[in-house]
Amino acid sequence: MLTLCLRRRLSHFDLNINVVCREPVTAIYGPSGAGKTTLLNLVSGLTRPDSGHVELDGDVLYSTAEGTDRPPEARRLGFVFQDDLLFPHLSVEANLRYGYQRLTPAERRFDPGQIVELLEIGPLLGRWPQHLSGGERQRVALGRALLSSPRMLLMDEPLASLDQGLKSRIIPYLRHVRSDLGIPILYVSHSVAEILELTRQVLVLREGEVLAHGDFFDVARDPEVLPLLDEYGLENVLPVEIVGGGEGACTARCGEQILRIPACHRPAGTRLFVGVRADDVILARQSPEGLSVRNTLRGTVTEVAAVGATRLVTVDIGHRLVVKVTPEAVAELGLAPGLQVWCLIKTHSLRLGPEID
Amino acid sequence: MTLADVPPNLSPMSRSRPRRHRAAGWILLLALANLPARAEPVTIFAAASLGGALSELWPPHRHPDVSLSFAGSSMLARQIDAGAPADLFLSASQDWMDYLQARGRIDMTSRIDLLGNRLVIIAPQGEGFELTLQPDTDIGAAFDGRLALGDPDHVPAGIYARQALQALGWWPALADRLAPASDVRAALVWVERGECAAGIVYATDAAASRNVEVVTTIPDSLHAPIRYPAALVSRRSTASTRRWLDTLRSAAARAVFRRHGFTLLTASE
Amino acid sequence: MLSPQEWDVLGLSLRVALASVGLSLPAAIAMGWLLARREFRGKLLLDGLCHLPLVLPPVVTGYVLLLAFGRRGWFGPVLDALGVTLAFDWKGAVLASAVVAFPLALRAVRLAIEEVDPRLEGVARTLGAGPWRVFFTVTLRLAAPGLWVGALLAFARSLGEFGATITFVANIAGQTRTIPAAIYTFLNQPGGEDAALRLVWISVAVSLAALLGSEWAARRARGRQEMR
Repeated sequence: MLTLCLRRRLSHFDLNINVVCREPVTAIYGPSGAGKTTLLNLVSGLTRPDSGHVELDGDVLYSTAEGTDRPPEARRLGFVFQDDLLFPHLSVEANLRYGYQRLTPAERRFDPGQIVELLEIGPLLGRWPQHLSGGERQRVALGRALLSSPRMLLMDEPLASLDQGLKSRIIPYLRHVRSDLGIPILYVSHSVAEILELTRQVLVLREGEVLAHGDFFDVARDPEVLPLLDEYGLENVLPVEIVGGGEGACTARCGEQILRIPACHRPAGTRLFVGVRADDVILARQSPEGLSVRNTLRGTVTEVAAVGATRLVTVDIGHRLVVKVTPEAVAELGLAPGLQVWCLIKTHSLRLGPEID
Repeated sequence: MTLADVPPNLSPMSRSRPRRHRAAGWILLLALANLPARAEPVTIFAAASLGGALSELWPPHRHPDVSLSFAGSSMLARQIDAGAPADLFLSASQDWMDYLQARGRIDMTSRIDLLGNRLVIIAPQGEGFELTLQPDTDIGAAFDGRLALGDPDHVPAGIYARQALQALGWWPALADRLAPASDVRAALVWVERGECAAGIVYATDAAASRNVEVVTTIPDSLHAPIRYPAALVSRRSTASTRRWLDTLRSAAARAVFRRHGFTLLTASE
Repeated sequence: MLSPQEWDVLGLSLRVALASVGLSLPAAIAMGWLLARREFRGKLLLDGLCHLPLVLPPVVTGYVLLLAFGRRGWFGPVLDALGVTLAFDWKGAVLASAVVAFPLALRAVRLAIEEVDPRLEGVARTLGAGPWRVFFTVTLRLAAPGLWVGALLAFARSLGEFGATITFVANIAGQTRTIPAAIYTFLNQPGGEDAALRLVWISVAVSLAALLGSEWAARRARGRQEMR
């Protein structure tokens, strides 16, 4: 359990955080410049707050009142950055051992072999960071942090500089860390989809203030949070259950509605998340015919929110779906709460997400 | 010599009839052209130890026509050898004048021994000590630390000093206790600051400083004669520069040199 | 090939230059780190003071050293109590060389440390390394090429140092007569040009060797960390 009470003056605003994180993984979400990185720096001890209190599982790491200020090296918090920050003058193996070799045998929670195997970085050991690919470097950075036996991992957008393919390959490793190694994580990201791969517990930060804290789906309802979610392209996440397979596509059930999703090679009964971007949903006043689109979901408009120059229409299809349309369309279709609409989603606009466990 | 020295009958102010006035003008022009151009500027390279005296003789604000360059005699000689635009050279040692003479850089006919100097043993002001100039004096015990002097390997003052020390039989005791300076002024500074308890410098240097006292004067019989030869640089030997050289032997100049402690050599004009 | 006196002069010059690097480089590293990593009032003034020996005529520097460390200098009594003599001693020559070499080494070292990503130092802290361990295992290692440059500059400057040395410790054969002083001595003697020239060639050879050596070392250090 992590107690964070932090105050720090920044150039454009004051950071003011007062939360208790109980879940194993808490995601920190917010627009750029909101203070997410500063928050992690404060927790790790690399930056000193103006005042506050940081406590992890009863151990006080910082307290203005008590005069405690544990230096970073004594906090045992692993830190993984967006830039892997591997030591360029050390080999991969030496990088991995940097934190590990200073620990006494009693302090060592993990053994190098275990981590190397978990992250599949065995073949990389004798090489130099400069000669690794981005994904390989991030895995090594993760391994290095883990081998320092941290009590908690702080991750600052660790996958941001990787392409989608790499991301989806590394996320399983992160899930292993969460589930198999049992290390709590503070995970900063501006990608909702990425966050949801790891946790539903999210802390939304804006201009240094905590806007919301809790389960993602509850938090996302908050009208103040919605515009933030759209900053990077809002992606709806729908929980579905596989019903059957087919040619090039699968059939799944979301609540009462049936969806054709891309082929996923999973047995019936599997439950997983699928994502669809708010931009990729078309609204219609009538159920259309003769269209190639495979999914027409019936729902009721619950809310029309103005966000900048566009409109975000929330539709209840048994599950919450947010659709981005132009103000012109809203006017033309007369979109208003209570109106029945059809949501058109192409199969290929649906992105397969992680399984629900 | 100024226009005031011109005989009256050549003065343009003389009254005469117009035709003779014009003739007088031509004569004047000719005469002026032949006059030694006393106002012509001169460049003098002189040994550093002459600095005080020459600057007093020719203060810059009153004599902008005189360019004085002071340095070690060796440096000056090499510069003149390389073609530096000096008209006159005053050296602190015969060696370097001989060097230039052998290479034909000076006008031999103009060479004279201008001044002499004496060597003195000095100590910091207020820290003088007893010293008798006898070979059996225990010079090693007379003072602590090192003896400051110009580098005996190349500085004229140091060369003379070594000769004197050798003549006194003191060289073996002091050879390892020397503080050789690149010029005699630096040696003076060390003694002034008390960095060295004793030093050998020119009498002129000691006289110029308020922070040292003279322990004893070294008789000139103990070393080669200290001579400051002066000569005109060969390519620049003209009537004008000769006059400047002559000025150095004038009564006014001799008075300045005497005041600074130099020994005067050539008979005054 | 070299006469005994020339060996003596060369040996003394090398000893003085190496000792000078040994004195000025650590000082440059400490000061370079301070100027690169810390902000404080008076930083600009300190920076300027450090560069003073670079802009002052060497003879002036030598005179200041005399004022400070001479027997009657400001620190004279302290040195006396410690039984250390610097004036007219090769140790004084080392000090004079180190003082004039310090600003050169400082510039190279400071630049090198500034180039080290401070975030790497932060990562190392989170991995459990205290500030000193971070300094030695990360900062210095990554700044190594620049440190070699600084060492070379200090060495070369010390090898050629003359003005401050001659003013502070005189030109004592065997103690403080380094190569430049010996060259100066020969030039001041009629007919000494040949001997001076020989020493010139010797110092060129030594300087070249030092340059190549430091270049090689810097390259080796840099090769380990090609930036992406």
